[in-house]
Amino acid sequence: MSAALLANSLKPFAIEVLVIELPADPHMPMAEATGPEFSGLCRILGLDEREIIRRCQGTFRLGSQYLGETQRWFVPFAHLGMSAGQDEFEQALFQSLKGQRDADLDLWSIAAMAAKAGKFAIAGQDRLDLRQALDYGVHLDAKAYCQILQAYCQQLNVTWHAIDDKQLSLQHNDQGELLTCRLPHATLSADFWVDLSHECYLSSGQDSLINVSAQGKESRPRLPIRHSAQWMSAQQNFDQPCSQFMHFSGGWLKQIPLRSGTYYQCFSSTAAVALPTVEAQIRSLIADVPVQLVWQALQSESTVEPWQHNCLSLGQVANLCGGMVFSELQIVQAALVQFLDLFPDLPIGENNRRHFNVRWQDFAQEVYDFSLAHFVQSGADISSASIALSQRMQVFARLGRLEPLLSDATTEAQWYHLLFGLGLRPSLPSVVLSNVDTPSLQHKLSKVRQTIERLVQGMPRHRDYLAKFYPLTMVNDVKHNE
Amino acid sequence: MTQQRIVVLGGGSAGWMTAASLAKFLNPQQFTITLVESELIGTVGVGEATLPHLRSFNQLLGIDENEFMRETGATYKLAIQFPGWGEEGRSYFHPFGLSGHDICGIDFHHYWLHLNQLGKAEPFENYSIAVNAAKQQKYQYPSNNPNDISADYGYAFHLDATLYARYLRRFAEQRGVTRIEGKVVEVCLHQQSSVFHQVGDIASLRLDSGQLIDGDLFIDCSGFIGVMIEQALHTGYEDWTHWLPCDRAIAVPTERCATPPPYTRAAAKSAGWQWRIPLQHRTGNGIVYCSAYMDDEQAEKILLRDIEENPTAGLNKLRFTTGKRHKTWQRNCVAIGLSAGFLEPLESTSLYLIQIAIQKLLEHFPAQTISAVERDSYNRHMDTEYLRVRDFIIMHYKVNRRQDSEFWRYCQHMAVPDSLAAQMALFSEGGRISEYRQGLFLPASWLAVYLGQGLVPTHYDQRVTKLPSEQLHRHFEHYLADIKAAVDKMPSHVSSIAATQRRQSVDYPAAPRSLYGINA
Repeated sequence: MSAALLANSLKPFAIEVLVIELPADPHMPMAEATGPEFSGLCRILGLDEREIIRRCQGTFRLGSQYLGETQRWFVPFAHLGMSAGQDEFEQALFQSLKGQRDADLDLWSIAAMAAKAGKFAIAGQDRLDLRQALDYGVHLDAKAYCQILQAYCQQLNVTWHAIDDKQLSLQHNDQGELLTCRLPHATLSADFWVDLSHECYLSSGQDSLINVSAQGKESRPRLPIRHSAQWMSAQQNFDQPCSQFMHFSGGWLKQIPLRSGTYYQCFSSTAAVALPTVEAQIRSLIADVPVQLVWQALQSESTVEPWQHNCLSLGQVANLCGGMVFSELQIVQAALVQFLDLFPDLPIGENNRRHFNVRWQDFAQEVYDFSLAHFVQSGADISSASIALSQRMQVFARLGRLEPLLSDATTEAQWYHLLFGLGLRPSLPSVVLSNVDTPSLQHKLSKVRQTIERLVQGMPRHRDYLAKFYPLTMVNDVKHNE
Repeated sequence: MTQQRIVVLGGGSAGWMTAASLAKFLNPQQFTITLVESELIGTVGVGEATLPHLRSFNQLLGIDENEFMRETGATYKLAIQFPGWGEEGRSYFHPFGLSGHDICGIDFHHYWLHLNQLGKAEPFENYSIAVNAAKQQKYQYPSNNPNDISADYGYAFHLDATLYARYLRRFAEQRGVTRIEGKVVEVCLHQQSSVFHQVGDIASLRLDSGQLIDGDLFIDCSGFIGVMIEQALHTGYEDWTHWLPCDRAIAVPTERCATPPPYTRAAAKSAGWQWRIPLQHRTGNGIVYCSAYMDDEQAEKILLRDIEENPTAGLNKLRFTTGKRHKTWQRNCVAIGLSAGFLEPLESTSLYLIQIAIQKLLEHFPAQTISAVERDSYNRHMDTEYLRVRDFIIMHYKVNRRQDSEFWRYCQHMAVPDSLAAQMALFSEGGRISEYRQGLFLPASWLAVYLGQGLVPTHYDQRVTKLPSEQLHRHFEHYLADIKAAVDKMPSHVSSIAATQRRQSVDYPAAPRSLYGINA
């Protein structure tokens, strides 16, 4: 994806992109759960989104369904209500739900309601409001997706070097810039390097050579996830246009439905000795668990400043949150878009680099905070929660509002759903609504709810939509009402 | 249910904007709103230049824009002209709009920097439709069609702040705000804690008449002096004079200008700057200066020398210390307007800072027992807003090459806040601007001022050099031709104002969320 994005964006400017492909990592996810950035990427690359979904056994994703210990909630990509940016809509909703024991925010989210009903459709161009309200990502088979992007890179004449051995011989200049990388069959030189390996092959272990700044060596505490495991089940599920997160003591089990089967990832905050207990819990949640799970111990920290000298190390930081809530691809794509905005001249300016790193920290902090919030009620150690996260939760619990977002990593809607789902309930009503009497407030909200119900009722089932517009047999002249 | 009592002290723009907003949204069954003001205490309000945000404020209150223009003698505003900033003899405009569109995902100004280096570009501001319209004294509402070049700008107003306050007073009183005439002689604090209050919170205001005004939440709009926030609660003030050394102003109204331009003028002087704000019925003028480098007599002389119409009233002299209260919400008192902080009106931010404070207050409105959660969150928001404006204004002084006075040499060499230093270093290095997610100003504004004042980076995105310069040049020429054609079709500013005088509604566009046109 990175090679495709860079090659496409830099093509008008005759900038060459080379790729060093490392041996496959057995722990790499077998499936991808993207956000709406997937459609954006397809537009940038000029790729046929439909074809990718079809070829990658893809299903749609309107958000994530959470099955908590006592509650269930949904975090969609789209806003609440039928129109984006409606002043005080969320506050009106919180107010009307106040005191209700089983308050369900999902009833005012068409994305949540459609996903829960197993329905999906992409609205027509004449209903941009509905398109926004049903903003979607996709679930894809990671290997197939990778192959498509690789073929795309070949079309753009990206030079590809696959190697069997991760031992790279690097040469730096006195300023610490990486000059060349010697491979078994070639020596590559480049002006700029993007390192997507989790192990930071191009930058880690080279401190004496690349003189990583003291600030850059600081690390970010990791999420309370210590182990992860993944497996694929043959069970097909065409009625779930969303990812699903199932809570167990000390972690989350993530389920991604593909057309070819169901992919599971388990994220546990327990120590290795307690993993058998975790396995037992998982087996009580779902039937399709392999006899023996292969657990991966996760690294404990990552570099705060990914851009050092002429090398952008994204692999390690994308691994930051263990791929639980955010996919690594999503994080890398966001970082590369920022990088392209600041595309460096030579020699690379220190301020440019610093700016990227500061912006990146904001992004990473938000990714981290959003992910960490998932562990608030699980008893895991969340002592590393940032002040920003604590403030965000306090302000929401008091006012039903959000502190300003620092980046595009998350949307306000996602935070509203997550915090409400976690059981936080705003204690103060919005004074802006104090002039609106309760019956008319309820009436307006109930109209929105009815509209959502009506629209969802008219939507096709996800499985039918896929079968009709995304058939697995090749049909080149497919037409549909996108 | 016990009614929550809100007391607003001060009846200038801040006081009446606050009272009007609270009256609009707060339920009279649950809240009482009392505004205390004294006719003996003058307001600072002279002519007031605004930002496009004010349109959203008026819209939120349900105010008809054309009625507003008639009632406040307002004219339209597309830009601010800055003669003499950067260097003597040069002038530039800071428009409410974009200059050019990005090409292949790279910002327009990188291409401009490239062509400029090749000697093939016109001044940057020429690529702004708002600037072209302003220069030709033309005005029309921006287009809603994103493909139309006329969608690339927003607009604000010049208004008579006194008339605006009067207009909002009627609005507020019609909605139940009680106005009490009187001067505060004592701010009484709670001596004992209760369910709702802590010791040291404000309990009431004692007026010169002896009347006692009790309240639960107090809004301090008393101006620089900060009767409640500072005199009573001793909140403390962060002094920014070392970055913004101007500390005095003299204002004078003059006769109306026959053809008021759709822009504010802020002309640099030897130790400060002079404003000119054209209204329908008069022109607002004033000089802001640094007393360490210019005495009152000199300032007065320069002001009267450089006004273009005859004065219609005496001089109004002001002293101020640029800065901000350590906390604009302290205990049960929220300071809004000049009592919260003062930043010179170089970029017309005064009403914006009032507006945003009101908006944030409504969002963080407390129950009768105030929690630190809403108070701290509000203060965080407002700190960011003030700091953003502060940095942008400091930049105007810092980026100058004037050699005609000690004042400007001081400004050139003064240290600036770290946040501004980082922003400027980023631009100097490669023409990049860090875009804020909260607070003013948009990158288009930074660009206009940087380039207008002569801070032209020699490095820019080198990808633009890969495109044939002739092709780029043609693209630029076409863009200029499109701007010219669009501006030629616009009516004059004067006739656009005249259209608002008719009682029949003129269709103005809804206040957009984007302030510099829908493409920004």
